[in-house]
Amino acid sequence: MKRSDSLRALDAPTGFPPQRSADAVTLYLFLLVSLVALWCAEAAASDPAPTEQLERMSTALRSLSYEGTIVYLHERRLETLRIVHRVEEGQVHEQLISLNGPVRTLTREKGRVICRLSDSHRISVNGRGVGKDVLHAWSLDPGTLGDHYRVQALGAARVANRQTEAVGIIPRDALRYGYRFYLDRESGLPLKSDLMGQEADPIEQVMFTSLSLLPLRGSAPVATDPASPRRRSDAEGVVPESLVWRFASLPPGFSPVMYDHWRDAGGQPVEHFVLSDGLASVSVYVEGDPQEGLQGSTHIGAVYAAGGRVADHQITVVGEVPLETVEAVLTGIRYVPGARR
Amino acid sequence: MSEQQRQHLSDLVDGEIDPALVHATLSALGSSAGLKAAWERYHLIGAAMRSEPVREEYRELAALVSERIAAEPVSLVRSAARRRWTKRLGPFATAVLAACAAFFAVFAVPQLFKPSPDAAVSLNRQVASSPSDPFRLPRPAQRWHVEEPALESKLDRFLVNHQEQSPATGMKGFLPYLTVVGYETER
Repeated sequence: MKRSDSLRALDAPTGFPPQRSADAVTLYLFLLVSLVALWCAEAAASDPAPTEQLERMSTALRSLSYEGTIVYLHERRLETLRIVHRVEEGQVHEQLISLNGPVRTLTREKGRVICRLSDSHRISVNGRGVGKDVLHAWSLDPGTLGDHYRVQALGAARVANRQTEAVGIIPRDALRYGYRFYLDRESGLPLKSDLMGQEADPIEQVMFTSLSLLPLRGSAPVATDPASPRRRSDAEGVVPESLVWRFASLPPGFSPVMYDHWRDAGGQPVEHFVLSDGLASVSVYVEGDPQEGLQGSTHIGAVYAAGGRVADHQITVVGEVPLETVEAVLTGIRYVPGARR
Repeated sequence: MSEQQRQHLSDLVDGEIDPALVHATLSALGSSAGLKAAWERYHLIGAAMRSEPVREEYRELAALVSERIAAEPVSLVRSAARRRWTKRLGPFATAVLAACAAFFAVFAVPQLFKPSPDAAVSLNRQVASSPSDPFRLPRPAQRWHVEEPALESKLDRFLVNHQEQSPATGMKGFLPYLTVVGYETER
């Protein structure tokens, strides 16, 4: 075709009147927008919601057997630990061994935790009553969590030569810590975890440098028990009304979820309350007249403790929460004589 | 003796003194009776804190030695017989003394100044433990920042119990126990 012919062809009518041409353009745009919306919806449907990813992480931690090496960064110090986590016949066996400095080990088996920090420093804790059940039955409650945290997908990252999806649990105030979990796409296990405060830099970081998934032997532990008192909506009634201790004011979101009592090695009674906001938790220990008791506050890493005397009792509050939170819990505890039956 | 001198002396005893101040502090120590007394006190305190025996007769040792030397009689008159014997043996004795001096200079003196392996280790330890050394090994992080071991144990026990009973422990898996095991203990 000659150039004059092509120019003539461009000037020639297209066969559509101007109005019909505009309608066609609108139709094309509509189809295009619909296709994009459909693609986005499919993409969203294929990626699980962040809360679902956290549920998957919880299940993976509970049901998978694995071993590996982890590095733990805290207070500008780097520790290496070996972890072995086996699920056999519905029972969890877990062992943590420090590979730096003096050998410290923690073994968790059949509801019993034995921690050896040195030759002379050994701690043994039994999973008791409700607490033991609580440990195995806890599940994430997105509704409760949403009151004080924002759960957000943070994107993809590569950790320990594996592909992960990062999920952030972002606190809505300064009374609780936040987390960044880097979840293995294949297994759901957290390959990296950052404990976040109010600053941009993490307070503590934990990361697998090597991970081996082990074959599952027998059945996995029983998952969520709907009747468990773990859910905060069921928390009312966990603490008996007959007790002489009341929490007059608590940090927003925290409420009692567990109560237990026992006698320590010296035969002294110890009462134990656990308060939780659905993710963070604080323990309150009440002792009659112990030989030693914390006065004021202290911490080990990001775990804070505050203690003092209330009505001739020693109160100690411990939890992986900021200092303000343990101090607020300590301030809020009240002795109400005559309440006990 | 100024307060600043006393502080420098304390830093010297603790091995924390600025190297630029060492010479001036030693000079002041040599000329001040007060600083000498303080120096002695600091070492006595250190020995007591290390549970080392502290003996009364070791106090003011330098002054006691000076007094004993001053009290010794000095003989200024040499006997005539001794002078004659020395004169007869003069050339031979000079040669022997020269040979001994040469022997000591070549063989003995280097051995005296060569540090023993133990001394080298001790020196290395001093360098490694010097607080001003940026390459020193870091001390373990303190677990609870409390002085009483019994209270520290109780807080550890409370923490492990808390981790075991807390609702979200299952969700966070092994992470809660890292705080317990990840911190070294100095005990």
